[in-house]
Amino acid sequence: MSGTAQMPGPVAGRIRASAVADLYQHSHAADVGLSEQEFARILGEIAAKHLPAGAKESDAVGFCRGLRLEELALARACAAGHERAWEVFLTRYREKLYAAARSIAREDSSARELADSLYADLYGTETREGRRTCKLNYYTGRGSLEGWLRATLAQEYINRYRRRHRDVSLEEKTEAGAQFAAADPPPQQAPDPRLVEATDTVLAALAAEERFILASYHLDGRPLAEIARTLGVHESTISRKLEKVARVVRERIMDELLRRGMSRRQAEEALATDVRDVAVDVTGRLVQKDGASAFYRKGGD
Amino acid sequence: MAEVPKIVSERLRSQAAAGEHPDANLLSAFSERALSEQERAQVLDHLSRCAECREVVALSALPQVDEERLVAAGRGSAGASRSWWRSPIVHWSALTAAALVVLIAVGERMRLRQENTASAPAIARYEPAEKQIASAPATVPAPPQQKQSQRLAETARPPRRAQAFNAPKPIGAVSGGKLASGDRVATGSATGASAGIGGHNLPPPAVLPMKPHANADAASTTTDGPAFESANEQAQAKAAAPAPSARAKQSVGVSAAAAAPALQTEGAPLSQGRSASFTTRAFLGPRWSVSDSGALQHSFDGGRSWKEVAVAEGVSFRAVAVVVVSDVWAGGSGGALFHSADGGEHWARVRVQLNDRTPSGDIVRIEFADAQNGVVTTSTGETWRTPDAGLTWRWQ
Repeated sequence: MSGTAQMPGPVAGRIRASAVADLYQHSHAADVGLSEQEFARILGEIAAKHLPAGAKESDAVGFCRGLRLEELALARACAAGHERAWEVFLTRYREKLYAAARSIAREDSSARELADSLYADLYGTETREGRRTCKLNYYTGRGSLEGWLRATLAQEYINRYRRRHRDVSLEEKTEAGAQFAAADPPPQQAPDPRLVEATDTVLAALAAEERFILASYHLDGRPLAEIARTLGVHESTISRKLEKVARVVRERIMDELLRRGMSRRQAEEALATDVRDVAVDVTGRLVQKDGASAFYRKGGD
Repeated sequence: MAEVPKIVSERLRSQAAAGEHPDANLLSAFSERALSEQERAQVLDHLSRCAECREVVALSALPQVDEERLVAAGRGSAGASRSWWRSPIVHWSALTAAALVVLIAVGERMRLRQENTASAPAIARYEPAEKQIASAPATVPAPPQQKQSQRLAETARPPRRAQAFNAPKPIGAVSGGKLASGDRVATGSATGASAGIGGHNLPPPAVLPMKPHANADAASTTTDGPAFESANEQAQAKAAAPAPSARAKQSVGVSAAAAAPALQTEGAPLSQGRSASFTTRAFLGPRWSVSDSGALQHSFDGGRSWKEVAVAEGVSFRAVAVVVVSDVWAGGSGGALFHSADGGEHWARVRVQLNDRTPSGDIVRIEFADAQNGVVTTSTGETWRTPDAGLTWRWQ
C-alpha cells in the first residue's frame, strides 16, 4: 500500500491521497488482490460518472464513503481476474445467485440456465477489442452487490423473454393456435379529445410517487404489499395514498373537463364511459344489413 | 380499493418514459433506498412511466415478496382488501399478549427454580419406596408446596434427565458400607410422591441435603447420575455439607449436570439461568463440550456419557459452537480454529488472519449467527469476524 494514489478524473482527482488510502483500507481491497492505484482509478470513474464536474472534495469523499466499497472492490477484483476474489465471490454469492434466479424464473431448469448465463457474463467469456469483457465491471457499488446481481438477472430474464417471443418459429405459432387468430378489429372510435387532454394534464401534474403507485396497482396489478415494499412504507400507507390519488384524479379531471367547456353532466358521462365500450361500434352492430331479414314472413317464401 | 376511470389507465399505459433506462446499479440502489433524494425522485419518475423497469424492480425484489403474495393469494384477497386481523389494534393487542405471556413464563420459571433449589434433595424421593434405604431423621423439612413444585419441576425437566438424575445405585452398593468418594449424597425417606410411585403410604417426607459438586465440570463428566448414600453416611455428609442456602444453590448445579457441556459450548461460566434454558435443548442433537483438559468431546445420549473427538494434536480447545447439527466450529490455544461440515467426522483447520495479522491469544468464544457469519473472541479480547464461513476475516 503506497498511500499516495489519487483518483483520476475531473472531480475525484482533487481528493487527497490520504482520503483515498482511507477508503482503500476500509474496502479491504488488498485482501482480494486489488492495488490501491487500481482502486483509486475505479473510484475516480464512478465519481466522475455520478458527480457534477464542479463537486467539492467533501462531496466526492462523502459520495465515495456511501458506496459499498468492500463489495465494489470484490467485484472489480473479480473482473480483473484475481483468483482469491473469485473464491470469495463464489462462496458468498453462488447460492444467492441461484436462489434469485429461481425466484425470478420460478422453474428450476430455466433458473439454472439463467444463472449460468449470467455467470458466463460475469466471468467474461466474450472479448471486445482483444479484451475480455466482464459484466462485474459495470457494478458501481451504489447498492449491494447482491441487489445488483438480482437486478441484472431480472433484466436478463426480461430480455430473454422478449427475444424468445420475437423469435417464435412458425411451427410454434401454429402449435399455439396463432393461425386461428381473429381478424383485425375495426378501427376504434377515439375518446373525446378533451377527455384525453384533461387526463394527460392531471396525470402530468401528479407526483412521481403517486403515478408510480397508480401504475403499479392499476396497470401492473401488483398487490399493495409489494408496492409498499418497493417504496419502503407500510401497506396501509399505500392503501390510503391509492384511495386519495384515485379521488383526486377524478376530481381534477372533472375540473379540467369543466374548464374545457363541458357541462357537469357531460363530464360525468365522459368519465363514466369505458373507453373500451366507446371503441365498440354499437350502432353499426345493431343496424341490420340490407337484404338480411331478421324474421321470415309468415306465409311467404 | 377505489377504481380510477378507465381513461386514466389508458393514458397511464400510453405514457412513454423519457430518457435512458436506469441501469441495474440505480435500480438496485433504489430498491435498497440507497439513492439520494434527487436521484430517487428521478428514478421514481422513470419507473412511474416505464413498465419494463417496474418489472425489473419487482422481479429483483427479495423473495419475501413472493411469500407475501402467496399469503395474500391464500387469503383470496390478493392483498387488495384489508382483513380485520390486519388492523393495528389487533397487531398491538397480539404483541402485548405475547409480551405478557413471556413475562409470566419467565416469572414462573424463576419461581420454579427457587422452589426447585429449595427442594432439590427431595428428588431422591422418586426412588420407589421399597428401594429406599433405611429411613433417616428429617434434617430439612419439606416446604408446604414441595409436592407441587416437585411436580412442576419434573414437568419442566426432560424425562430422560430426570431419570438419569434419579437413577439409584443398586441397594447393595450403597447399603453395605461406604460409597466411592465421587458419589452424590441424597438419602431420605419416602414422601407422598414416592408413595404414589411405589404404591406405599409412607410417613411424611424427610430429605437429606445433597453433597455439593466440586465444580460443574465434574458434574458434566458424571455418566451414571447421582447415587444415594446410606443412612450411616448421613452424619458425614452433614458435616461436609455447606449451609442450607449454599447446598440448595449447588444442588441446581447437579440438576444442570447434563447442561454443563452446553454451557461450556458457549464459553461462558455455568449459571442457573442458562441451565434451565438448556433443558429444552437437551434432545435436539448431539452435544458438544470441551473438557477440563482441553479435549473436544461430544455426547449422543443427552450428556450422560461423553466421548473425546480427535481433531488435532497439540491443540487445547477452549470453545466449541454448533451452527446446525452438521456444522461445528471449535477453537482453542494459539488461535487455532477448526471447522467440521459433517458433524465432527472430518475437521479442517481454518486460518484466522488478515494480511499478516493473526489472533494474539487463545480462542475462547465462538458465535455463529448462521452458516456464514461468525465471530470468534480471543483470550486477549480480540474479536474476529467472518462473513463467509471463515474464508475471510476482519479484526476488531
